[in-house]
Amino acid sequence: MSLSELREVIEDLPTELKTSIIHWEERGDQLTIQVGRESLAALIGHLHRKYQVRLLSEHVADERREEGCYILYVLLSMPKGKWMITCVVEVDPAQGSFPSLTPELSAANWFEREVQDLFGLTAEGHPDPRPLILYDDWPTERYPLRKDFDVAAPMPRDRSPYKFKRVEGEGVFEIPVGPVHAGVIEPGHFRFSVAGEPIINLELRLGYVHRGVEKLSESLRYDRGVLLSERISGDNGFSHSLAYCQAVEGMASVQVPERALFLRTVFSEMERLYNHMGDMAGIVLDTAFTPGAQKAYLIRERLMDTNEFVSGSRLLRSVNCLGGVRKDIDRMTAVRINAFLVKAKLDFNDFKDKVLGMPSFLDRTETTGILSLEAARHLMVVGPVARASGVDIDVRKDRPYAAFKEMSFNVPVHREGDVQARFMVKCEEVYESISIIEQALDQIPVGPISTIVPPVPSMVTGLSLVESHRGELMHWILAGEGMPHRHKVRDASFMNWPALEVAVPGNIVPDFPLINKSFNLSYAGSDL
Amino acid sequence: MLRTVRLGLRRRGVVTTSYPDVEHVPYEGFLGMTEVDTSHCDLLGKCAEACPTGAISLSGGSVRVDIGLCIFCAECVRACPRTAIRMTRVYELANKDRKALEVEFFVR
Repeated sequence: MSLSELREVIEDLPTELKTSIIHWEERGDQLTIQVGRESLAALIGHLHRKYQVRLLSEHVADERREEGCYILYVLLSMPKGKWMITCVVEVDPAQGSFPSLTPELSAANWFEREVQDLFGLTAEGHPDPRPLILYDDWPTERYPLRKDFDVAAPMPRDRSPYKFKRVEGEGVFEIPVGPVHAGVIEPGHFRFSVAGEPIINLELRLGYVHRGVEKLSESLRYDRGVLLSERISGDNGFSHSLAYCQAVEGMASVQVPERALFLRTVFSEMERLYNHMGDMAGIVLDTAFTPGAQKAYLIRERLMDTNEFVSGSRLLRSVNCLGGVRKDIDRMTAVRINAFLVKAKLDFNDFKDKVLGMPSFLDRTETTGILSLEAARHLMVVGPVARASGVDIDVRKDRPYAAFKEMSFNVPVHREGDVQARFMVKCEEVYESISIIEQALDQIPVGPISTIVPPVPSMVTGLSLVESHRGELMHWILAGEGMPHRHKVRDASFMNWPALEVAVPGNIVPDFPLINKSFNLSYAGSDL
Repeated sequence: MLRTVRLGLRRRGVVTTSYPDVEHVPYEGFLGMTEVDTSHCDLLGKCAEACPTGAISLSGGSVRVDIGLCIFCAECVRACPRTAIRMTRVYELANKDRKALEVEFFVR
């Protein structure tokens, strides 16, 4: 599709939709369409059916002071990610509602529930309007992302029980699990309805680690926002800060030095590697094959040790900065990384052979927790979860950032959609990541590693997508005076959590940890 | 079985270390405890301005660093024009007394 074809999107609209467009504009690879609220759902439905657009995000910004209304943004990505469509709708504060897209687009479900919680706007026609993010005892009429919300005011508790879906019948039991779990993992509540061992229904209740990241970001200068974004979700801090930096750099129209782009590529693959190693170890551990898991944990530890050697931080924190990176990789360090990767690859081969030759592992993972291609497309899942169900998406290929354009690599896609497919996708991605690091280190150009970022003009928007180890994550910023006016973060987990509810039913309870592990979802990233 | 015993006795294939009996030394460039080089510091206050959590404050002739507030981001190191502040390899920072986390460096 070329630029003129992007314009054809408008020309191809049915007449009644075309007349409902208030304004449209094309800038770079983005098309912005402003429509009236009554035809939003029809427009999105049309774009979805005709172009199979994917929902990136649906969020609201409080612009009552500037524009006298709330503005609803629906961000869509054309297949293969190259083109973006933003639908903009004004939401009248007096009316306090917007039309729900969930009946047209299942993936909008959580986004709209989130908007309801944080802005107090009703999604009209939403099939499941229960709260998503805020605590059960959060008082009504207090909406934290509204600009007039007083952060300092004490918050009274107002008890109101959350209504879980009930499955009833003879021999049907409910098993509540969490939010406190046995291991050192994050908090989340799972409610299983079971008849015997098989799970009939799983319901998630998250939001326990909602810290108000987006609200906090609205009060932080851009350079401080980098540090905040690093801390959104511990293990993909580099990807989050990279997305944040890219969004700000885009708004300030800064060209990041070539060398910094290559270094960012190396660091983001280093992050992917250690996390994939931990994921695979976790999957193997949950099939009770501890010696196998320890092999991968050992490689993971050595990778994190390498991170520390290269950057001073095991989690690659304080590496990104606006306009580039803070840590350089000199010749000697590059040699050492290369030598280490050769060894890591051999160790990983050994791990992979051991695990895939283990009948008990294969038996547990094959056909467990299947997410069908249809469900994956419907829920618009991202990352390894999508690629294990046959959806070929990867931001690094579809919308290359950093230096990924110069790299040659494959995107492994499997189509079984079970735990094993997700394991295999990660397994194959490890080799690709190692290869990308090697290529980047070989080709790295000389030059500065960062540049100065001029002040960001206000009221411009910045959008940036990054492929973290969990999949596509998005940072969207509407600039204010020296800091974001609205900062929307969408972690890959936010798209993938609802898919867990689809993949689990039909499996037995003991397989739940295994399936959950294979999805590897972040609670902190989803709750924000 | 015999092989396992032999491996254990010869300590081959052992990957764990004997910390804390044997000291663990992090790499150069590790983001640990903040330290002010009092001979280079000119009390410019750039570090205090750069600190996102307000962990650094200047009072009279000293720089006070509150490790309890520090997030080890090394923004202060980046901001200092005299390279008088650095992150050391010291990482055993836990203390039973909150007050002990506030460290003061006397410049003059």
